[in-house]
Parts: sequence; structure tokens; C-alpha cells
Amino acid sequence: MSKKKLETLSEAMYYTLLALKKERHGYDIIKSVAEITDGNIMLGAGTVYSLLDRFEREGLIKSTIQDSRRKNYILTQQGVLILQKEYHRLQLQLLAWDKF
Amino acid sequence: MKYRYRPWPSPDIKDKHIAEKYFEYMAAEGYHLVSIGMKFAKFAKGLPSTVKYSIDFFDGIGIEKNEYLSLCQDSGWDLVCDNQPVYYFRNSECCTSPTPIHTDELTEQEAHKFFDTRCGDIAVVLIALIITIIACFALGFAEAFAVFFLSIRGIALFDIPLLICIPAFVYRYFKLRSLPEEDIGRRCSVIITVKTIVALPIFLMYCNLISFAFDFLLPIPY
Repeated sequence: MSKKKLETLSEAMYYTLLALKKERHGYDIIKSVAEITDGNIMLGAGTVYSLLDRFEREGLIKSTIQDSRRKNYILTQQGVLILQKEYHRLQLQLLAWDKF
Repeated sequence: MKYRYRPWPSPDIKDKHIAEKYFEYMAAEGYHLVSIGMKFAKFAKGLPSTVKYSIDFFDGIGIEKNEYLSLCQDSGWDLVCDNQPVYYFRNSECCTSPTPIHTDELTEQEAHKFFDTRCGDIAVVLIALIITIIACFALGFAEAFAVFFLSIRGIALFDIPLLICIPAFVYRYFKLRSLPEEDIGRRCSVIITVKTIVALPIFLMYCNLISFAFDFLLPIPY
């Protein structure tokens, strides 16, 4: 995935970042996304892991506590900005509904 | 415990989804995946059961690997074996229909291009046939027979493999035609069974092709 693609987030990217407004580990993200969306969005373990790895490399999230099995993550300032940008993009799409 | 070995990775199995279906078919037949080596998959005989398999690709080590595996395990996927960077998972007993390991097309596409589509075996048989035909025309049948079929110390290592491989591939062709497209697991099983039958003859043909190449490039002066 190229860096450019982060200009618009996929559904999985959006929900993963959203879940990381609070500090969480991988499985916690999967559970909380399923909970927030009433089970409509189920993220796969491989998907979440790939995204966490990528977001960390690109500085959108940072790891906090880590033991031998897993790490906890939370959004960085840059991650918050990306998430806000996506939120506004989605809002504009919703507003467009009323204009037609 | 009885074990069954099958050639792996099969060059005929093009993607991981087909391989997963094959493992599921084998489990339904009572053969459960135990391990994967460089060339063979090992199955243990047990009770037939409905199991889901998932194959994923991951190249991390140390804490990254632990984190990835624990995330998969928490999501209902138990690691069966790995042949790095390929990981083979089976659904946990407590979780009969876990969420797929990849639910996002982009992240899945990144990793999954491991199973290539080489048709090495068929290519070797075809090369052997072509060489035989050319030799028959060029040298005359009797000479060609002597050169190719009785080339190594008078032992026919070329025609016997051909006699095994050609019927095996013909059987595979007609058997696959008779099976429905959606029966992926059974189709894979046919492919791999034929591959098992032709493994030794193909190896002999490889040896003979190399031997022929040496004979051709470095002819023994008479």
C-alpha cells in the first residue's frame, strides 16, 4: 500500500484508527469495532496486524505498553489529524445527500 | 497414529483459497494437517470433521511474530504449522466460524502472491516427448530408441516414466472434467494424488534430461 492511499482511509483503516482514540491492543481493537458497529464490521486478525504495523511505521500510532505477546497502541497527533480529515471528508459526503 | 504424506507446495495449486479448500476436504476425509515441509504435507489419520483452514503470510520475527500469532489465536485461529513465511491455521474448537484472518482486500493482496503457477512436471514430460520425436526423425527409430530409452547402462529410464506419466496426466484430465468446478477440495486431491504417482518418474526424467544434455554437450569420443 502506498503512502498516497492514506489520503482516503478504507473502512478497516478508519475503524482501526477510531478504536485507537483509546489505548488498546490488537484483539481489543477487533472487539471494540465489532461492539461499536453492532457486529456489522468484523476485522480480521491479519488485517488489524498489517494495519497496526503500517500505521506505526507511518507515525499515526505509537506503541505504549508491551509484553512478550502483545503491544498496546494509541493514536499520535498525526493520527488524530488523519482521522479528523477523514471525518470531515465523510461529513461532506453526507451533506451532499441533501443537495441533490 | 497413521500418517499420509502428499507433495507440497503443489505447483498446480494457484492460490491460498484453493489450498485451504484442499485441507478442508482432507479433514472431511479424516486426514488432518500436521506439518508442512519444503516438499511434503503431513496429514494424521483421525475422525472426519468439518474444519476451517486459513493460510496467511507473515515475515516478522520475535515479538512481532508473537503478537501476530496471539492476535490470530484470540480471533479463533490456532496455528497448525508454519513454513516461514507461510502460516497454516485451523479454527479453534471453541470457535467454529471465526472471522477470516483478512477482511480487507488491500492488506490481503499485499501478502498473498506465494503460490505460483509453474507447470514444471508437464513441461518436463513435454520436453521429453519432443526430444523423443525429434530424435526418432533425426536418428531413425532404432538409433533413437538406443540413445534415449536405453541410455543409462542399458536401463530404460525414459520410456518407463513416460508410460507412467502420460496415463496419469490423461487420468487427471478426464477426472477433473468429471468433477464439478465448485468441488475445489476434491479437485485438488486428484491433482495431488496424480502428482504423487508421477513424482518418481518425473525425477527420473529430470535425471535423464540432464544426462542427455551432458551427452550432447560433451560427447564421448569413439
